[in-house]
Amino acid sequence: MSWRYKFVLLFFVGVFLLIIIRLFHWQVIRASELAALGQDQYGRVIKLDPKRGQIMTSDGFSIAANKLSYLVFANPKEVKNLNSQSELLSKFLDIDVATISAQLNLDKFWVPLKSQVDRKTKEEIEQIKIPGVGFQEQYIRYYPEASTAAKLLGFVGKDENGDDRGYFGLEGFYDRQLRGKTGLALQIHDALGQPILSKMNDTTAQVNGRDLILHTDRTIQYLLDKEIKEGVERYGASSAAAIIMDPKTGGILAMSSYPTFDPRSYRDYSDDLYRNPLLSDTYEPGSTFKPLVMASALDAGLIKPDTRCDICAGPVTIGEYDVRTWNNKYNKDETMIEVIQHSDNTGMVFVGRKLGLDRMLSYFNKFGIGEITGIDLQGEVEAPIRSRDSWYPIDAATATFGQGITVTPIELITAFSAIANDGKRMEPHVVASIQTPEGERIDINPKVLSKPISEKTSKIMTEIMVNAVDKGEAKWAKPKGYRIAGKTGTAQIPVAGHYDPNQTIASFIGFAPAEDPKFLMLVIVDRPTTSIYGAETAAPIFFRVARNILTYYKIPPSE
Amino acid sequence: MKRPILLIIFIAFIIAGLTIAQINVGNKIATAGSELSQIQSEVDKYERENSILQEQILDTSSYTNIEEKAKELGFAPVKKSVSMVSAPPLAMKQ
Repeated sequence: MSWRYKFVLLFFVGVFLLIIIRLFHWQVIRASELAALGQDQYGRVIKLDPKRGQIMTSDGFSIAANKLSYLVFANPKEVKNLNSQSELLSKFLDIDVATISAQLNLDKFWVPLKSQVDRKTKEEIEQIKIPGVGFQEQYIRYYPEASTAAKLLGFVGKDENGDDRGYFGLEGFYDRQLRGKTGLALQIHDALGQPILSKMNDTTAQVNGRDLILHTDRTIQYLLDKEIKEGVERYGASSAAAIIMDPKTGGILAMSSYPTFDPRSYRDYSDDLYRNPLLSDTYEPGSTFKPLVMASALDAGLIKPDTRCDICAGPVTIGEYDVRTWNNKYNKDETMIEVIQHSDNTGMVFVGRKLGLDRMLSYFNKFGIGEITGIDLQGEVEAPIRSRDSWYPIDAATATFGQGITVTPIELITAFSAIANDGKRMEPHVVASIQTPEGERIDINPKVLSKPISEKTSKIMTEIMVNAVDKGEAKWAKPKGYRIAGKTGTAQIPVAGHYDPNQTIASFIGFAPAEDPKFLMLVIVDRPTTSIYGAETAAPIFFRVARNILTYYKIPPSE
Repeated sequence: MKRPILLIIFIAFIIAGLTIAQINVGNKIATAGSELSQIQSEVDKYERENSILQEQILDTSSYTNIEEKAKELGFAPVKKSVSMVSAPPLAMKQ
């Protein structure tokens, strides 16, 4: 082959290679960019935003809904008098003049000025007819009851892409159900820009968010929020919180804590306030823990209600420590009924010794102590109990009266649901059912987590707790005529390796009516200053709320 | 020879008829775009009104608002409830 042929052959091969490379560049590397350019000439992709699902209380009231608002934008090319228009817009939009003026000075056809502007402001701006200013509809999250149930609900903020996203509480836990699915549609238009009916393609369908229907009762929630707020002010506490549960289903009827935040303007509050202390904080429960230990010993058949304590005549010495009663008064040979009535620590040490550490830990396990409850809210933390090897005799003794052991409030109330519900511990749940955009309702059935004690033990323990309310330190606050089972708690707070005698967590846990419980409630008051005792702070809050709920449920007195 | 001519004329008529029909239907569908815009804006309008009404209903029926209005009208919370339950008789026939 002569060199000429070879040259021509190589020339053509080279040209073909160049063509192939160029085609590869257009058809593979820049394929999506060119396709988008082509698509722009005959249509546009429309983002179809789904509507976020609503959150409704048990009476069907939307406690979290969607509200129409507006994005105010401007076309700087149409602005005629920059200074006067900037001043006018600044007044209506509550943004400084320099910011507005800078936006209107940009060499663009469209600049956003402010989002989430309400209807009233939009109408006011419309009336003065500012050239080049327009409005784009948008839906924002709206909470009609303001800060009511704020920590239960959480709030809706933005994610890294600028899309809505739920944080904390129900908004966070059920975000995927609530947010729905964004749709994309290709709208092909004619030369005049009119959409062509036959040329509308849904590339992906938009799906609206699902609604949540709660166990939460709006009336009870409102009453509780009010009482908790007033309680903090009345007792000079640093904070207070409460949960009300239906012990038969585990449904959360109300959940409140104060101080709180307003989900409509969550940015104005400290991040610390977003956290729900009822799920995310651990504390030493103090005497409210005693009924669980007592119920364990009763269930194991190791004691009876009339068993007498033979170590209750004075302080109990364990190693280098002395266990004393809260008021340093001792009741020789008192019964187990009286141990709970007097909230006697030495009596509980007696019960703990009868029970033994291994059996006590086994019952803790059955009551779910040290485990998460699985409540459907974002932010629940685990408060694990120490391993078997690291329990010293003093730890086993103090755990019987709720010191040296930590729980979350939701964990404690869930454990108590076993006493109020014939021995069955229920999974706490806020959402009763989920409703699809098509109207289909998916019910979430109550779930039994465990059965730590028998029905008989639960009845006995209930009577012991009724006696504690009727004859205990908090009897003065109890509504007359009702049988209420309950227990006060005054737990000291560990500070730098020792307990501070002047700072306590005062609490009260109980349920009513004792013979057929309709609600189970835990009230916690953190560092009250008017009195350090649960009987004088948390108990009055409990009984005020209980009285209102009994009236609301139309339950007549039984005594 | 007559048969193919008739057949060709017949087919030509059918083609012409179908073409006219297609143009007519295509035209109607294409112009329905503006109709679609109108319907869509009607739907948007009703959705907007619904949303505004829902907001007003929620605002008005919220406990926060009701409590405020009740206070303005001079109502006070009930401190003590009265139970209207009749006392059981001294002796009951079983």
